[in-house]
Amino acid sequence: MLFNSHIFILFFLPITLLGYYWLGARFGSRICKVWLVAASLFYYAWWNPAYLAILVASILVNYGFGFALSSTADSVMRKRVLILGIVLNLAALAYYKYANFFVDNIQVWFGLDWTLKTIILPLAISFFTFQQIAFLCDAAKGETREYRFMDYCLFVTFFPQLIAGPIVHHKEMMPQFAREDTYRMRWDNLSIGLTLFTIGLFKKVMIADSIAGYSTPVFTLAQGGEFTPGAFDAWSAALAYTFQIYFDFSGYSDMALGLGRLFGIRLPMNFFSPYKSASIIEFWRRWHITLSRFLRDYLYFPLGGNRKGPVRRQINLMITMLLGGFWHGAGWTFIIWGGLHGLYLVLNHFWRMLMGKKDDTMAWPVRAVCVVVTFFFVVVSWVFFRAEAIEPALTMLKGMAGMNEAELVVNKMSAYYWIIAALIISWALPNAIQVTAAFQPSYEIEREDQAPMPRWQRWMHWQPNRIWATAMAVVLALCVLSLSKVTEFLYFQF
Amino acid sequence: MRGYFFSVIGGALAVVLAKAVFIATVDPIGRLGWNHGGIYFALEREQKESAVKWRGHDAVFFTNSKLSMQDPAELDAYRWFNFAAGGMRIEEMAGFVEAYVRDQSACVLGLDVWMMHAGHPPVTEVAHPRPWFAWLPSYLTSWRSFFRTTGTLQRRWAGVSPVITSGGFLDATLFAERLARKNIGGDAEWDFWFEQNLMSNFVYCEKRLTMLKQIRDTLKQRGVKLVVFLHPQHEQALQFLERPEFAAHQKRFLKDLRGIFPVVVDLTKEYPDDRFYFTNDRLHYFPWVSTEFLNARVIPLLEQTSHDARAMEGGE
Repeated sequence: MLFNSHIFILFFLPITLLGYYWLGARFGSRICKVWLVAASLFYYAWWNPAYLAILVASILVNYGFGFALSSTADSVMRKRVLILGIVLNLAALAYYKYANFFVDNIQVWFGLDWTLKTIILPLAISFFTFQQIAFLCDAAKGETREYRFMDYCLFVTFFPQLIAGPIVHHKEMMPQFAREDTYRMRWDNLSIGLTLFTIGLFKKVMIADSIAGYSTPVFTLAQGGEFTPGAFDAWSAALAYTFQIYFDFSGYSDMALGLGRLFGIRLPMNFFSPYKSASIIEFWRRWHITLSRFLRDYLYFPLGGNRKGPVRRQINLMITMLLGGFWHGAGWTFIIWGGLHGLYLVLNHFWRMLMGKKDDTMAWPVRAVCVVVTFFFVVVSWVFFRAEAIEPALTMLKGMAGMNEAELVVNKMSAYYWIIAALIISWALPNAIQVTAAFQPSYEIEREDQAPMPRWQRWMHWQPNRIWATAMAVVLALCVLSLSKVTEFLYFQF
Repeated sequence: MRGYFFSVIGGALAVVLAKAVFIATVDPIGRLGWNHGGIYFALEREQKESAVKWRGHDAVFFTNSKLSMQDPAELDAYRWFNFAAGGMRIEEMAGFVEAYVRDQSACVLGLDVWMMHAGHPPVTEVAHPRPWFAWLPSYLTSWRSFFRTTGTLQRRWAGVSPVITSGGFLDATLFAERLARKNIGGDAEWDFWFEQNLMSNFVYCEKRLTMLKQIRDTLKQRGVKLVVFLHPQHEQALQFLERPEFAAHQKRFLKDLRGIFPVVVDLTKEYPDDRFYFTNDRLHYFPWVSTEFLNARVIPLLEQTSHDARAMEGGE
């Protein structure tokens, strides 16, 4: 069941929401939590009931480990339990997500005749595994309090964030679950939640799905090996994918934030206009923010971060980004994508060391140039992310460099109209968080660059007035009426 | 805030409901069972899936476009439902049999060797039976339904004949008119067509045999009599089928079918002449041909089959 499906919007969401507030008013928060966990498990099982067992087992095992960690005073024992917990989580992830990849590569490298049946990746395993590893690490440090089992279940399964994030942290969720007033119906929560959900749905249905029509055919043909895209097709497809993935994933995140808020829960923001970034460092503070935070706190810092000198810092960055790429998918293209971003970050830090300037102190023309340059490098990296193998990615890049002779032109000029429109939205318009900033749409994440809207855009601030209500009603209706072809969110595969 | 929330929900619902009511009133592809003016726009399989629920019948036949124009009222022995649809694949047949052949007494499957071609494009989403909550909102809110509704009204008012008649089959005259527009005429053109569309890179798909077994088992379990026939082929198609590289596939297909089903009627060589086929079309025989062979050669065999275990022993 997807957020952009009739079944979700017309049946699941209204029933779950009504049940939630009715139970909350009648029986109190405990029953409310049970209802929400049950609804979330139903939501997960809708995709494939067989994999529900994996999610439930993961919750039980990790809660057990968390309990053991927080109740053990012996630090050696604690360390052992933590290692065992992390190993078990990673083993499950390795089996379901990476086993086929490893076996395939061993076959190629060593010529061994190993066969492994195709393992279907359980939905969201990367997300709920990371979330729980973070929980175990903090439990070992004594940073988790004695959480109730139902709160923990809700922390992992809460359906708005279960499938594709944001990757939530127990410290920001558990206190909200514990508060009684979370379960009380408030019109401001419902109104802001509905607005965020509608904006996200619009991004997904009206923009991402429309623009996908210009990237998918070219990448698919390039994948087949019989087609070498010329510059026109290669650029239009790469740019179309750049915007498809942004509007798809940020649309999903806005919808998740909105859904959370409908239930009185503030989720952390995951996007903050990443294509406005003036450097790759800034890009990673704005793109998939909760993943960056996880990788920083639970991988980069434990590796030593920047505490062990500049050379080690660059190595740590590279390792973090390579693993971040690998987290996205079991394929060399994802590793290359991560490696490219690692390299970009290393170069960016080196540049900063030389120039000694930060992005927010730049004059606007310089910043504009930096935004374009950053955007260019991001587009190049998306080619690897999108292509299913290295060869088609290189074919696409050659096309972008004008090195291919186009025998056939796939895309029409309209691709560029869409791209220009998407570019204007991404560069010139405020994001959903900025528009609704006065009503605290998300859980606060410590950020140095959470810029307010420029003065000329302030008229776009969301207000619960007739103009906004009419606009949102029209947008919501338009989206619901355009749902007949349900398409999956790109990040579901990770 | 309360006013805002209800305005957004109420406004959006009003627009969505208005469109849904408009589509539901006309019911352009008969999905809701109250379209009596004929179907003007529909993928056949979409319409069949709807009509099978509303049209009284006790027997059903599945095959591709070759029987799309067969009027079920002209067939003997049972009240038939025509479940033939252009390009129907074995995967679809298995899905439809599973979902819709439950209480009927008899079923006929029309097959040909090209249905075993592994290179067929993947089955489209409409080919799988879906529960009401999956198709109903989509039917009532999609732009496709909306434009079909406005188009239906336009054509009805203009007095145009429906594409699918009230008997649930394609209008043969309209079909012939469309064929004439296709303009594939002479032997050379048809040679090229057969070569390109049916013969090139043919790969025999083993997996579909499992689906055929699944159909057999499902029908056996439900007590539905079953006869399978192989479509008659035009003499030009037969020349291709008799080529050494292809004859082996045809022979194997027949052998496999006889290994799976108790009763298989091979009509491949029975109606080869031009006179049995539409002008400009060497794939589709006239509806009177199918009426003839179904009544004379296929349906009587249903009487000879029974769904006890003994009759099925001839199977695998």
